Amino acid sequence: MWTITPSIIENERPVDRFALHYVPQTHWRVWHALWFWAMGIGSGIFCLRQFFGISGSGLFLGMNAIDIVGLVLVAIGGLILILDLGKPFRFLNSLLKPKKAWISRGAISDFAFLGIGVLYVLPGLIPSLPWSDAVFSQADVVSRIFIVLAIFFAFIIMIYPGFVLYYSRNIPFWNSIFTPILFFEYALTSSFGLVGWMVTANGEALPSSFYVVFIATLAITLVSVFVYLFERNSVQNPCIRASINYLLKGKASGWFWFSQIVGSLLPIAMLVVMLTNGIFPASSMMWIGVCTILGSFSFRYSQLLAGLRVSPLV
Amino acid sequence: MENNDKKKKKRWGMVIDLTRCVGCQTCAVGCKIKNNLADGLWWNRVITVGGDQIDTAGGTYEHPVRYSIPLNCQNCENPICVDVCPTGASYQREEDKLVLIDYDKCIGCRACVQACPYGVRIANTEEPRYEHCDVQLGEEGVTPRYQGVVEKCTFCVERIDQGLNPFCIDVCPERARFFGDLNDEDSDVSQLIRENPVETLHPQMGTNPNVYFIPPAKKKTRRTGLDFIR
Repeated sequence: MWTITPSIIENERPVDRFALHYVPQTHWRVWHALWFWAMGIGSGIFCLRQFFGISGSGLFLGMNAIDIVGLVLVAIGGLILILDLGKPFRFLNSLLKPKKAWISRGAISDFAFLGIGVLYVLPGLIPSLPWSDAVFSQADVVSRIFIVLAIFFAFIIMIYPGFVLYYSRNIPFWNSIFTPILFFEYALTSSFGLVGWMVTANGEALPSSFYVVFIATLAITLVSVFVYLFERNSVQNPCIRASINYLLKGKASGWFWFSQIVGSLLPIAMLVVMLTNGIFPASSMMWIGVCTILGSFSFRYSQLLAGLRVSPLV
Repeated sequence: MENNDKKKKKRWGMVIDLTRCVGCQTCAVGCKIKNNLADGLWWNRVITVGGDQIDTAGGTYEHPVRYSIPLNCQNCENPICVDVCPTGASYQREEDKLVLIDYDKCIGCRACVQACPYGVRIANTEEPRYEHCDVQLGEEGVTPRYQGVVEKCTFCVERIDQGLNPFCIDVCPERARFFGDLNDEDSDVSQLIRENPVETLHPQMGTNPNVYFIPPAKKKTRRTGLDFIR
């Protein structure tokens, strides 16, 4: 019965709501992209420090700088989220439905990560506390419990924005399991970039395994993006096709191609050259960090921009 | 609307006869007045299917296409909007599974707006303004409009609770909208669903909407307009 092909309109006027169109969603834009980005990096760098046993990234008030930056970024992300709510002072209500709603799961994880993370780093400031802020391999039992819990919640923080988008049925472009996977991957790539930058800027060396895993993560992310687009394109849905066109050729294309070229390809090329030469200059690591961090943001923003609303009929 | 089967829970639903709807927007305006909706907010819209603009035809010169489809909350049996709500502000009422919003719990995260496949939820992002009207509208019992929360059609829950029809049903001049208990086999809506090849919107989403449409040119000819005049 519904045989129509709606057109895309950029700026929806009130009267346009009385005809059928594909319209880019406007509810979640740059602030949401910043929220996803800050939380992804913040939780990611905390995990990477533990996985690679990194301790030489400098101190802030006696506490490890990577942990502090991670906690601050997650806190900033949470603050952006709260300020973007229609009723910011009711933000605690968002903790009420973790059984079904990913926003609820994410909000609980944010608070839990911040609470546990602060407890974990506190011995740097107050050495008399009966646990240490050492990395997992050197930590005592209490610290290890804190680390495992913090990594668990950090993982949820990295994937939950993707699941929030995944369940947005009005935006079929996002309804792919690759959405949370890509959000996780981009959280990791930008975290690798920031950790590499911070450690080398402090004059410390990173294990070579760090660089190998960094390149592998960037390459997997790059491939995943195109598998995701291929998978989305294979779904016979005109709204998804319109979204892909919008992402690759439309208003979101600048942000998308920036994320792929500057955020993934360029760092891969630089890292390969550095690995081949066996030299990892701090200045190059800084540029790789900047590229991956900006790429991570621009990918998320391009995803939000390309979110075209489905027509109620098509 | 009368239901003799007291044991069975009610399941409110609508049938909208697109062969009768002329796109006059009376239901949309009636809803706006009855619920005191602020400027720019519509819980109920009559969408033109055909051209790119309201009330324009699409198709070809020989075969133009144009019909109207009233669109309000579909009051789904499996509402995605309720699942994604992190606060429980969007909920299904226990007694009749109506999908409603508790404005005192809503935090305005807009996850439900993004989740609804029908695009019928509205985020009230600005302070409600009534520039084109200097008197307070809205029926008694209608909640005031708040900034920062999400709104949608409630099937006129205050009227249903008083045994009345939703306002859009009563004001439709074409008698194109029907309302009743889908669990009552004798109700208008159940009979219409039985006797016509009704369709729902986005059935592939698994939401099981409780709003059914009789598509244009698919209605059985047995019924006439007079059958439904109440």
